[in-house]
Amino acid sequence: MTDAAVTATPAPDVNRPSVRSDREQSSVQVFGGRVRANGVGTEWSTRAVEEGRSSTDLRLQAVTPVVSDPPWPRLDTGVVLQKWEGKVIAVTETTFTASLYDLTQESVEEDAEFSLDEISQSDRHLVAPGAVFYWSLGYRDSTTGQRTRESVVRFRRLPTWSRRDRADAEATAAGWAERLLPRE
Amino acid sequence: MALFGPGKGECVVVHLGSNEWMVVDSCLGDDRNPAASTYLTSLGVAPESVRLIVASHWHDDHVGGLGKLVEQYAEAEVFCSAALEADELFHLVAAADQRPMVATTSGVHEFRRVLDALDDRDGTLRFGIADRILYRRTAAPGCEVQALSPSDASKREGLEHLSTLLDLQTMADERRTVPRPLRNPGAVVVWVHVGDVRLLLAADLEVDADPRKGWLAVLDAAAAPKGRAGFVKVAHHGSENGHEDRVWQEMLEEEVYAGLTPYLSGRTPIPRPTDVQRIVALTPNCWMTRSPGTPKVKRDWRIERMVDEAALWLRASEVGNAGALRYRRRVTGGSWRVHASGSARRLT
Repeated sequence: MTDAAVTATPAPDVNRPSVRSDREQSSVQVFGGRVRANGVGTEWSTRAVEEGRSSTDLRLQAVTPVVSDPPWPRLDTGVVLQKWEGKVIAVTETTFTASLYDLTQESVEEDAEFSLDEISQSDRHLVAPGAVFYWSLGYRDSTTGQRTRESVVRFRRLPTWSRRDRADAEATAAGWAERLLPRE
Repeated sequence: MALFGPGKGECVVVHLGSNEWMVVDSCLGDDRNPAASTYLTSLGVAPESVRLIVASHWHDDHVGGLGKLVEQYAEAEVFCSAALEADELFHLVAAADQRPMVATTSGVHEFRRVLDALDDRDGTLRFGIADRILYRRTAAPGCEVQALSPSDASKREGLEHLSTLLDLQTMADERRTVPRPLRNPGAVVVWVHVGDVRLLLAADLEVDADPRKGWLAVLDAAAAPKGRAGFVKVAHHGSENGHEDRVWQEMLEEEVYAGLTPYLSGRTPIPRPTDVQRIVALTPNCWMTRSPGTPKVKRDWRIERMVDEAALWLRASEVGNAGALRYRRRVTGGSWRVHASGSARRLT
């Protein structure tokens, strides 16, 4: 990526410049004034952008080595390849089975079984029949440039019913019972 | 009569004679419409000719698209198991609407659609229980549809099972949805008698050691049906826990024609090879709506690799080419003719 042409879109907020490589269509991410290209750890100065030069064909110069710590924290990034919504069917001592609904593409319902070891300790108590969770597969790119495969299961805590919700439900149910059930 | 079973789901459509039709359970076809609706439309059956819709039990694989059927066939009487006759169920179905929708399918939302459809047409939700006549026609050819289960004891067990599942307070406390019922104590077995033809639609009823419940209660009921059935929809997808030898000995003709829908989901898809061997030994005339096996959704190889690493197993239960079976016989007698389509096949 040395001397790569990098296009900068006009950045109204100079603290959050938006930069995109037009040589390779893959991602170039900006972390508070530094640009990391293609997730391989190459760092570029964005001084020109910070100075307000908002040309749409801005050539940036590599400044190496970078010796100081980044002024803002850099975060891992990720690519989600596939995501499901799941509902727990049954739980054993070591596993749980669930029905899965594909959120990535239109598909039929699927069933799967997971080891409870896949679930973080903080979520373990949520694993019960009827519990809803999200399962995503993808890659995680660390700030050091490492790419790892990642499977993440996160349980969702559904909002509870309010007193008014319950009263409404009781009224609806009573109406159905009155109108729909056979008379003795 | 037609039998649909895409791998996770089951539906039986029965011609009761005189252009009157019955649907027992519902599943979706390849086009995601109820299989019964697609079939009846293809035959040119008018909606008002469907007289009866029976939900044998409220498992997701037996109620897919049921709400749409009830909407579409506005003249049909709608029956579900007496083991669902609980105030808690109505309360829960109403409360479920207060939840944000989750994408996963839910029998509760299907039940809501059924109730709304009945409400819109001032209909009544009826309940099937042992010895209850669901439909009778005296004009020739005579027709009688009778529920053989649940027994009183099974109904009570079903209601208890339901109350533990549907405890609204627990669900609210644990921030979860309605769990999927895993047992079928309240399943409605249906006996159909049209002219000289008798059918046993065995739902998912299981064997119970208690003679007051399950198949033993059906067999020993005072009002057990007379005669033997020439067709049986095999109980509970051919599984061991749905099999009772006495049913084959006392309720079915020799070499009875049989139909089976597999349940290809779950840890152990059914029927298992030993189940197939058992059924083939009982009759050479059994067909299954699709081949056994473990269907999978095709995905990018990188995703497949990650799935293999993260899950113990993952399988789709209804991937394309859903099979169907059609059984025909004159109500005055004669032999059955069977037509298998899609991946349906004869058990060997």
